[in-house]
Amino acid sequence: MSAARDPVHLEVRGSVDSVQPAEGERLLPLGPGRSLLVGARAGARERLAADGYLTYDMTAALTTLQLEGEDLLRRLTDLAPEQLPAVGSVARATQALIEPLGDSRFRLYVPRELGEYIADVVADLERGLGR
Amino acid sequence: MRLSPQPNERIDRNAPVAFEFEGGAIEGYAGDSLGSALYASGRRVFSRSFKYHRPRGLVCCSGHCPNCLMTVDGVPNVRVCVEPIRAGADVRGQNVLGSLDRDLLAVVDRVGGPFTPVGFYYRTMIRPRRLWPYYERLLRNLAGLGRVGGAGERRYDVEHRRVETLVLGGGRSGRAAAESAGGDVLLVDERGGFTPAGYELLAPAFALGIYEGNLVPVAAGDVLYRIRAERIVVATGTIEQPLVFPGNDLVGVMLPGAVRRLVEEWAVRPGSRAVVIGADEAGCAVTAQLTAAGVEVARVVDLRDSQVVEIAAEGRRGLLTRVTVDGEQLPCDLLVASGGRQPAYSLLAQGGARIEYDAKRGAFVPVELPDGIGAVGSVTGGGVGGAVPAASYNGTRGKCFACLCEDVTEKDLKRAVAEGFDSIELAKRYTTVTMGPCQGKLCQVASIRLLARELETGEEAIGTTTARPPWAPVELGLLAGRHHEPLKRSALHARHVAAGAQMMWTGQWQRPFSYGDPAAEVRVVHESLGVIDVSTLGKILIEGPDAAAFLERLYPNRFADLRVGRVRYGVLTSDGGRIMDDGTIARLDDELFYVTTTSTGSESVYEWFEWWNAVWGYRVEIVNVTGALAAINLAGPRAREALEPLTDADVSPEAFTYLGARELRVACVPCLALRIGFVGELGYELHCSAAAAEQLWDALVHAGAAPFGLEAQRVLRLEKAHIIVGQDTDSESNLLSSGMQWIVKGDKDDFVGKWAFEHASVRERLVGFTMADGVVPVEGAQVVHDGRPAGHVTSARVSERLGQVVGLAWVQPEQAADGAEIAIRIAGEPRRAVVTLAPFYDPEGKLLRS
Repeated sequence: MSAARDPVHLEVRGSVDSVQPAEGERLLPLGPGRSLLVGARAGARERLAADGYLTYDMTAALTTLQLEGEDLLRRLTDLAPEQLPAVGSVARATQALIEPLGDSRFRLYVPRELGEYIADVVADLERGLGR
Repeated sequence: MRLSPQPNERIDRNAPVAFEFEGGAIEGYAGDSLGSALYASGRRVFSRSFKYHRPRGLVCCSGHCPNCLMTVDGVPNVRVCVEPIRAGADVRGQNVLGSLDRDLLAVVDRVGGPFTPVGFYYRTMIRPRRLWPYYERLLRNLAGLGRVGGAGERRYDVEHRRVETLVLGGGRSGRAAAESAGGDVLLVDERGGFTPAGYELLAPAFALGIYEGNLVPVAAGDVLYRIRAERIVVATGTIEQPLVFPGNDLVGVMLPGAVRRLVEEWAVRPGSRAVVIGADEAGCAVTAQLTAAGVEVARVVDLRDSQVVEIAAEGRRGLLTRVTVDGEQLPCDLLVASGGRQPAYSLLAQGGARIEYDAKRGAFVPVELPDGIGAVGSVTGGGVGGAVPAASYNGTRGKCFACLCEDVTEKDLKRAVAEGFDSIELAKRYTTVTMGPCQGKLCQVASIRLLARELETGEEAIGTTTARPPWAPVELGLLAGRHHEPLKRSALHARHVAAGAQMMWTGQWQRPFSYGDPAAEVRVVHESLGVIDVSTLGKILIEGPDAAAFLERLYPNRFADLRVGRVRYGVLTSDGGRIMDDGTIARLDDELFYVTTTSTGSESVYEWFEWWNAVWGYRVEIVNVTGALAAINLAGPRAREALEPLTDADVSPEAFTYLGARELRVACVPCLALRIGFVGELGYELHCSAAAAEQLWDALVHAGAAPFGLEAQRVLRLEKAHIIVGQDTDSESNLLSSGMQWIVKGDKDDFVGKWAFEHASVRERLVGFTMADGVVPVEGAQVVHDGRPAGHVTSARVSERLGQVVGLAWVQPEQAADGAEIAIRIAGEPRRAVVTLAPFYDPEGKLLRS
């Protein structure tokens, strides 16, 4: 099984603390020995494999949502902005990886199959904030 | 009734606000509470009591007691004494038959007493048993608080906060603590009305409790804040305690704080002639305010100076008219009675503080505060003290209430003790004292004192009840928050909707039940070519040098000998040998396996794998790729014919045999193809990137495959007697009873559930059956033997192909034989069925292997 194109999100397994992301790539923590390489460049898999890491293409596994406002984030998760990036629970126990983008903007990586649901929840919570 | 402007009044006399009370217009001012505006308008009876329907009026004006609970804009149990006035509000009394002033249910108070002693519902109205539902309805209608359902739909939200310092209480001490704390400080106060200096203020807001990890839920209007704090400072102050004497619930008996608020904040004269009885300085100091407000003070009784024995209040129609103190009769319409103040320690106790009785001060005080939680101000017990009031005062007539919320009297507590409920926790459960809306704020100390007196011991020996959230009343809607139902959609969801599929819930997934005609869908799979979205299957990669050993130890069957490119069915069992999940395991490489699970089992199986590997420490990576991959099952006699033009690979029976696993490109989509068949016909399960699922699906449909849904799949799998874990098995089912002992390789050293399998007993067996008369039993229908329950049906459907009703059922072991007759109860009548152990359709699996 291989992807038809270069993956965008790679799950990296191994001693991930020593992974050196290339320019434009970001390494986000998933758990002990697990990270998500976001914005993986062409050849990232081969590069990481050469360094002894196992990689899995998670591009199609994740839906990415971007939201604005710490108040909205606070209604979605108990993770504090200063703790990010981190994996936490959003919208009734859905696990999500949340990445801070600066200027009170955040990116959520949620399971693809729950992407629409989370989008609906975020829109609903925004209404609660009067937006 | 309004006084001339007071120095610290909160009302804005230039801003009148009108609202409705029981349909009539009431006018107050901005800054009023609904309760103060009603009081200023002359209203005295605010509620009827829980059990006896006695008239009740303002007592605390602090939102503590139950006496001012009303229904506001359809929302029941609103404490109008602290509910801010708002224009157009619709305020109504509750728990009455008639009106607040003339409640017909007050008959309970007049004649019901002898029939309704404490705990009467445990002893009476219990026979005949069949009448209990009627008794229950009667009791529920007679007693209780407001009725839910009158309000329109309201929105509740939950917000998470983290702060360095959280201060609970905005009195002098709380504000000082917040100002000096430094850093990120949030102060929560029930009333507000002051300007924060160097900290954030959340008001009006109520802390509901202190949970582990310094988590404090705070109710603030329609938002529940879940606040985690590095440090909590509790500054909840004290709560004035009522005295216990006959007639202590009459309208006009108030606590000093209520009088102070009425006069100082809302400029309302609380009465015309008053008697003051106080146990401490604060209790007696209210005299000056009364005098200044033009209230005649008939007598001041300072319990610190006088040994009062008798206090009794009398009234007419529930309104105070006279107080008797040691024989002296004092006509009045206001009795300000206080038994001193008690630290409001409940939040501290919830946080882990120890509470001790200080006999000198007559107060329960917090000691030994836990790390991360502090206390400032009078909640520590500082400044609390005065005379220790008697447990109750003698009087000639009238009920003597220990608990206003639940109408628990001194007599009730005496009776509870006499019946053996002689600890505060038992007495609480028996009498419901402290279990009402005030949650013990005004009745805990009184009940402890009464118990101590009856048991001839001290308050310290009685102790307090366990402090539990919520400390303040909270709407259930606020605790529930927004109603969000997780909904999983497969990568092909839009295709199903576009095709007009009738969707159904399976776990959190929405899946097609059918595309219009399930029977036609079954036919097309048997006769031609069908396609079904099985993306919901859990999909887990196991990779590493120990991958085979890991699976070998997890599953009862063997995987070490599974060749690359082959698939094997596997059943997971728990340590106790119970069936947990099933699926297929394909070996993709020496060190790489691809495991599928049931649709609802992906997360639990993944966690199960992770858990065991944490124990065993194998060199494997476990990766849940359920969402990353879609899966489509192409099934039917034309499956190969349809697949061939879509791929360059050789998919002939010789090149791609049954139970094979191969990587193919189908319609240019890279796929892992598994030659397996849950539905009993020649089939290929194609797993591909979720991003390419629609492309693959479209190509297969274009090639002539007709989509079929879950209903057709259920018929097809039942014809093959393939089980669905969770449908045909339950938490007690094991491999032996399910007839799957063939899967177990008993010669393996070990596997999860081996011991349990070796010691398993068979109480029932899962078998196939056909109905003799063609009637379809419902799932769950009873199997009966000699008129007794002997099993149940788990699945049953009409099979057009077989011309029979087929199903699976649990039966007694002696009935689990080919051709055995069993009886299934349908609509009360036993119907004949015949046991079949082999699959009903293609029992030798020739079609699958073709």
